[in-house]
Amino acid sequence: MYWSAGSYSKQDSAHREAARIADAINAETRVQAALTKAGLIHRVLVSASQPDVKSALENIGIKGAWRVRIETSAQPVVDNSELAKIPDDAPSHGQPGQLEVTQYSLENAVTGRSTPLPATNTMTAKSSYNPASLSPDNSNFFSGPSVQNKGRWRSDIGFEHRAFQNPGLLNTEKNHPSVSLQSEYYRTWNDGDDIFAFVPFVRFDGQDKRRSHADIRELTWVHVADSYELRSGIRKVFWGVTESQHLVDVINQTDAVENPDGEEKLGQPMINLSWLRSWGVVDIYWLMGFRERNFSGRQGRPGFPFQIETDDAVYESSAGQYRGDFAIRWVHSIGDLEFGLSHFSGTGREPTLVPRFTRANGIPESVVLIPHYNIIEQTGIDSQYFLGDWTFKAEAISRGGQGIRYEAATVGFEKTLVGIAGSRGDLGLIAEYLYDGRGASGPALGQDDIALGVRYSFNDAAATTALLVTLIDRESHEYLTTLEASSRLGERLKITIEASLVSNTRRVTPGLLGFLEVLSDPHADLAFLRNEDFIKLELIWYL
Amino acid sequence: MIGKNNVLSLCFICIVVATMASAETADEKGLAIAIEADLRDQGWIDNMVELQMILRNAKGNESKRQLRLRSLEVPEDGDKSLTIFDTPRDIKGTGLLTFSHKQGDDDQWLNLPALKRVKRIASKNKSGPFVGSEFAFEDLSSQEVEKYTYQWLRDENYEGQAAYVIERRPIDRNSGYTRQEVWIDKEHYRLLKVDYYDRKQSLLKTLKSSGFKLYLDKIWRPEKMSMYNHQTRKSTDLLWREYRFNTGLTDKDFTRNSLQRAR
Repeated sequence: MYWSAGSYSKQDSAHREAARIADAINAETRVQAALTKAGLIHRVLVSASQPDVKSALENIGIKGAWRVRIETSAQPVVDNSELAKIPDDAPSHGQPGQLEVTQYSLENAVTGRSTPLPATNTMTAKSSYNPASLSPDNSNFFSGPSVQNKGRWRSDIGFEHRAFQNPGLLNTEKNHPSVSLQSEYYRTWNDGDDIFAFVPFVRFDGQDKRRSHADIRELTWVHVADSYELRSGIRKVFWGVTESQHLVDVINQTDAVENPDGEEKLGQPMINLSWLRSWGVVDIYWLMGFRERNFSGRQGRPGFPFQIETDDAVYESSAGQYRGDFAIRWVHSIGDLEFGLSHFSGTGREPTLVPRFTRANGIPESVVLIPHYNIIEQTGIDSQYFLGDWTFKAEAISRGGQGIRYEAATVGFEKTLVGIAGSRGDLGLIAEYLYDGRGASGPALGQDDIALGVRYSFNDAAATTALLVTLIDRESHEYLTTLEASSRLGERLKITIEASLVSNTRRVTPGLLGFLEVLSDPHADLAFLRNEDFIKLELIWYL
Repeated sequence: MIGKNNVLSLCFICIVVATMASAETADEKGLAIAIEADLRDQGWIDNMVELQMILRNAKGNESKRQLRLRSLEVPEDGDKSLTIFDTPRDIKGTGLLTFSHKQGDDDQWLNLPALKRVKRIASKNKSGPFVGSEFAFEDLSSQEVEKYTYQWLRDENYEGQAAYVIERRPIDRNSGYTRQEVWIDKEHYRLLKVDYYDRKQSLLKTLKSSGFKLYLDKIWRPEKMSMYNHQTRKSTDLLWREYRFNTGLTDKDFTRNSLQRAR
C-alpha cells in the first residue's frame, strides 16, 4: 500500500520530490510512471508501511494524498515509443494541468482493493497534474463529510377537503376541511453511521376537535455498526406484504382520526436492535410505553353515536400505559421467496369497546363506550414469492389474549401487466382472500371476504397512479369500494384523491335506534358505514 | 529461382491466410467487440455519482429529477446499485436498490420512506419507464455481455471517430426490444450511440453519450446521455457529475437495511 503524494510530467522533478519526502518524513518512496489522458506522468508514491503517513505528509505541506495499492512487482507498462512522443517541456510541480483526470480515489475513501495502475491508455495530451492539489469535493451525500452533516429541515403542508354524500347518523356535517403540517429534521454524522431524525406532525380540522391533533411521528437516533443497527427513540415500523389489510403489522398504534383505512400510525417509543446475519435480519424491539388509539369525536366522520371515553380506558396490565412490550422479527429471502416470522408480546393495539351504562333509578339513562386493552401474544408470518409477473402474498397470525386464541390470514396475488396494450402504463390485478377464525364475533371486515383490485401506474413524468379495490363480504354480500389516486403538479405540489363507497347494504334509520338496529343485524356488517361515503381531495405543498 | 509452381503456391497461401483472417464470422466479431468493451470497463470497483435527469415532452416542457447513485462492481455477477431521489420533493428520500445479474432477472427493492415500507419490484418490469423518463429499467441496469447475442454490422465513422457498429439482441424475452444497434469507438470501446428497435421492429429510441472523461486512468464515463424517443418525440437527458471512484463501498452498503436508512 502506498500514498500518492503528487504527479509530475518531468521524471527528475518526481525523483527530486521523492527524495525530499523520503528525507523529511523518513519513509520509503518511489516514482512510478503511468500514461493517462493528461499524458505521461510520474507519480511520487510513499510507502504506507509506517502509520500515519498521511499526517506526516500534511505536515510537510502535501495535502490530499490518496492511497493506492500496487503490487511491488508491477512495472509501469510504458512503451518507449510513447515516451519519445512526449517532449519534456510540460509544467512542473504543483500546477494542476488541464485536468480531465479528476475524481481520483480520494484519501478518505480508502479500500484495500487494488487501484488499477499503471494505465495503458495512450493519450496525446500533455501536461502535468497534481491530484494532491485537488480538494475532495464536499458534496458526499452518502457518507463521510457531507452536506447532510449540517442537518436540514423540510416541511410540507397538506390542504384537505372531505366531502360526504350524506349527513352522518347523528346529523354530522357533510363538508370537512382540514390542514396538516409535517416537518422533518434530518442529520447524519460519523461518516453517516449516526443518524438523527425528528418528524413532528400537526393537523387542524375544521369540524372535529378530536381530529385536530399533533404527534411526534419520529424522534430517533440510529447507530449503524458492521453487524447491527441500534435504533432508539420514537419510530414507525411496518411489517407485512398484503394489500387489503395488515394483520402482522402490530408495532405502531393506528392514528384512527387521520384515516379510517388504518394506514396512518402514531409514533412508538422503542429501542430496536437490528442484527444482520448471513441468514437474515433479526429485529428485537423493546417498546416503551403504550399509545392509546384516538377516535373521531361526535362531530367527526365516520361518526359513532356513542361517546368513547378514552380517558377511562381499561388496561389488563397493572402497569397500564407504562407496560414495556416486546417484539422480535426475523426476515430473510431465499431467491424469489421473502418471508418474515414475528412475535409480539404486549398490550394489543386494538381495543375492545365495552358499553357502560349510567343509570338513573335503575333504568339505563345513557351509554358510553370504554376502550379495553388486553395483553396479547401474537405470532405472525408474512411472505411473498415472485414468479415472473406474479407476486404471491400471504400473511397469517395466531393471537391469544382477547378471548379465546384465534387465527386470521390474508392470502392473494398481484399480477402486473407491463406496458399493457402498447402503452407506457402498468396494470396490476389484485385478488386477496381475508379470513378470521372468530367468524361473526370478529371484526366487521375480514372474516370471510374477498378483495379485488386494479392498480394502474401511468409511468408518466407526473407519476400518476390509481388504485381501485372492492372488498366483498361473502356472507352479507355487502361491498366496500375504495379509490386512491395521486399525481404530481410541478416540482413541489402533489394532488391525491381518495374515495370510499359502501353498496348493497341495508337501510339505516337515522339516529341512535337505527344504529343499534344495524349493530344487532348479523347480515349488515357494513351498514354503519352506509352514510359515510366520501371523496377526499388533498393538495400537498412541499416547502 | 522461383518456379511457376512456387508462385502459385504463394498465391494459394495468400488466399488461405486471407480466408483465415476473415474466418471470424460477423457474430464472433460482434461478440469479441462486446467482450473487449466489457473488459475495458472493468476494475472501477465502486463509485458515487450525482445525476440530474431532465425530462422533456414533445412540446419541450421540462421536468427535473435530482438523484444520487452509488454502485459496486461485482466481478462474478452483475453490479449492485443504490439510487436515492432528492427531487421532486414528493419522492425525496425514495431509494431503489438493484442487484443486477448476468443471467436471469435483476432483483430490485423500492424504499418508500413516507410509508416506512420496502417493496420488492416484480422483476419482469424491465421494459417499463424509469420514473416516467425515456429510459427503461433495462437501459440503466448493468450491461453484461451475457444479456445479448451479437453481430458485427459494419465499421463507420461516427462524429469523427472510427467506430464499430454492432447489433445486439436481448436474450430475455421480456425485454422491450427486438434488437439494438450500438456504435462503439475503436480506440477506447466506449458506447457512443445506441438505436433501440421495439417489438414491432421499428426504431423506438436513440441514445447518444457525450463528454467522455477518463477516471482511474482507465474507465471512461460520459457526462451526458441523451435518450430521444422517435415515436413520442419525448426525450430525457442524464447529466452525470461529481463522479468518485474507489470510495470504499462494500456489500454492507447495498442491503435492505442500508436502503431503508438512506434519505
